[in-house]
Amino acid sequence: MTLGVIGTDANDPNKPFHRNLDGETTIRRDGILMSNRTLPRLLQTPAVVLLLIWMLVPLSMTLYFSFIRYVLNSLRRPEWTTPSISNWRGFGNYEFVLNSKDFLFAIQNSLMIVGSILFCTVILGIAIAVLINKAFPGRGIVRVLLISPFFVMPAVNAVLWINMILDPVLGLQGIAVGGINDLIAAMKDAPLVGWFFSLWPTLEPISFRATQTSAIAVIIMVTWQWTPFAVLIFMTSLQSEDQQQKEAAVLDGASTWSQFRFLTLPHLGRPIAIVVMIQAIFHLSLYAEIEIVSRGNGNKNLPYLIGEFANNNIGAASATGIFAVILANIVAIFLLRMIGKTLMD
Amino acid sequence: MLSKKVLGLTTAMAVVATGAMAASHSKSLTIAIVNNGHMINMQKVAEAYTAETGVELNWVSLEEGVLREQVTSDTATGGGQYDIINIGMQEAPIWGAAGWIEPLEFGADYDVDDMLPAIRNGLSHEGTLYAAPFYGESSMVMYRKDLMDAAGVSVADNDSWDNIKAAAAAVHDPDNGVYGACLRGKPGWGDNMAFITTMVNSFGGAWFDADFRPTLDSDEWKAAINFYVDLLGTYGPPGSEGNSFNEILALYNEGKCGMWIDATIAASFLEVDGVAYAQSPNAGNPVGANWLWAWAMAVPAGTDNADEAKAFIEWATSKDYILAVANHPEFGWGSVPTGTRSSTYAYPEFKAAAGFAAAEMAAIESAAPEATDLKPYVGVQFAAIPEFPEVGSAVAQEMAAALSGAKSVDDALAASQAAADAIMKEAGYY
Repeated sequence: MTLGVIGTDANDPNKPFHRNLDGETTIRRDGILMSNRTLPRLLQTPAVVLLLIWMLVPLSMTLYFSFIRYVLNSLRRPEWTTPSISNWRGFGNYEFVLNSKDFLFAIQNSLMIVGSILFCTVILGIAIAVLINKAFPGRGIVRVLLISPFFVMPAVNAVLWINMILDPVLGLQGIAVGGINDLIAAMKDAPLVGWFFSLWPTLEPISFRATQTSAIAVIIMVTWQWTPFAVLIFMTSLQSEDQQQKEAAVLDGASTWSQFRFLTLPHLGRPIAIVVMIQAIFHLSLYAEIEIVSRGNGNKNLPYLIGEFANNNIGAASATGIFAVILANIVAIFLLRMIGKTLMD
Repeated sequence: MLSKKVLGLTTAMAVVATGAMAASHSKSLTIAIVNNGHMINMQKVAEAYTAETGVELNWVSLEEGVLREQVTSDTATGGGQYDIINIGMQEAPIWGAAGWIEPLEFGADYDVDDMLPAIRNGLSHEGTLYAAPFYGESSMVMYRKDLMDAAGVSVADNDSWDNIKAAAAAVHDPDNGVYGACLRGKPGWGDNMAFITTMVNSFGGAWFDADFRPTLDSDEWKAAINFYVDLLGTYGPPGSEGNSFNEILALYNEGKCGMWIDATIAASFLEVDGVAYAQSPNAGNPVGANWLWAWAMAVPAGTDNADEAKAFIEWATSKDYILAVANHPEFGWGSVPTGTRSSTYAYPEFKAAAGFAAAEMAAIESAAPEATDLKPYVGVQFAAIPEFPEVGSAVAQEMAAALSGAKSVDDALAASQAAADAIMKEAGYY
């Protein structure tokens, strides 16, 4: 909508004019209204066109490849190795992907890991942010240390966790479990308390690369990495919390929990929305952690599935890519509906 | 501080720019290599080659998986980014057949007949060599003779799987941190499937029948996988579904493994006393119980410097190169690339430096990658067809699920068969 005043020229009733809010009259020689936005729009055009090309070319190529037979190498059907319209396949690639072994599992698992990571980071983020909101000696150092996991590269994060911490033999877990078992075994022979320890079972280390646990390992390591992000956002927000309200609540005799529940939590509504939205977008495309922990064993998402097809079958990989775009859009629509409102209020 | 950094960065960029300019004037080759020890060493040894011929060498060193991805897309689309690429035995014959890489022919001095026949066959398509090996390997049993002797058991060459299991059981002592058998379990066609395929071979199974229909639901596969899951589940270290070469090497050197069946090259990294070697166990099948792999150098068809590239490969895989490594002040006979030429194994200095040399040579020579009546494809622990990485990865995940106990062996094999069948059908085999 163009703001301003629209009227006709005092000397020539057939000549319309438009005056914008700054009082400038913008009128074209031929008398047709020229909005004061036209020039900026014209100036923006090259950037917008570039962005469109940037987005549209890969997207349309993906769409095109997803409807044709296209493999990198084939001994049986060499004609499929060059992308060509004569290899048109309709929805064949989509059908193949839909029927492939792990497609539904990948979607369910994507949503499961994203949801779990969001849940853990938001809860932990709020808890830690509230904890370090009060002044205490060394708070600066604690804050820096808390933020630091966020600066570790995802692949490094995964390698560190899976090999040095979670490994059942050589990692911290294996050493700790072995140590506890040794301790219990030694205590069994102790006088008086020995009977108590002989009731204890021998602990078995858990393999976090197994089918049943590999998703949990990824959730743990990503939560460790992204909790600082949530802490950072919540911490900043807590500092803008209205202290007078809190003082009034204290005077009214509200408990600490009530203060948190009815003052702090509503205040954090908007930052929680931001954290959930940004993280959901990031975690839908997790790859490095999944690859390093279990190579897709028991834990997969659509990007990982694309990677598996991209070995050779570009058509199927492209179709999976289109599915991933659709899934991301569904999630985005939900998030914008639910959370966008909070942000707009 | 900042200005120094900026200055440093600018200088570095200037150096890179000059380097690139200089390269465009004189002859230069861009070489994509896998980041294993032998190739890293080659960068130093090849300084002499540059000094002699004036050919500049630009090395792009990549991790195995990344290398495969990069080189595949570059070669498939004729990108021409590299003049020489490192490829393995799985790729060489099919890329040669597809015309992605150039056939290699060398002069008489090169003595191509000195190349180990199994390795040469694996890198050829219809008798034409497409990639020259700089390093080759097979698989064998590496075991702790001290522990076996103490337990009163022994491991023989081509032992039966039952004896292997009995030996693993005898030395298995998890309370003291020793596990009977360490085997690969990490999903991947080059990881757990390399070992599992050799095991299935020794039980008489294969990936595909003559029509290239997958045969993963056969009795041989069931017997082999049941044995594998039982052996590794009972006598293996916890977390075996995450272990491949590097992980087991770390375990072995910590003294936690009684026995390890893996690549022969592992023997040169073992730091534990009392190691002995035996040829891979076999349930009765005369061939195919041990794998065969080689990293090789090839010239992609898209390059403009094919002649220089071939000349460099001829040098880097020659007998002289072996001697150049052996006589290099930083290396020695312990570091020479093995598994390519029979002449290497004739040097007494090499035999003295590498205790595993005889076992390795025997293993490589007994490996049979050729297509036979039993299997229609080339390759021992893989099938040299373009679809194999996809099939292999899908099955690898199912095998890891079976090992984790998340699925029964029968369910995992049924799912593998269905997945492999879908991929082969999709690829137009039937």
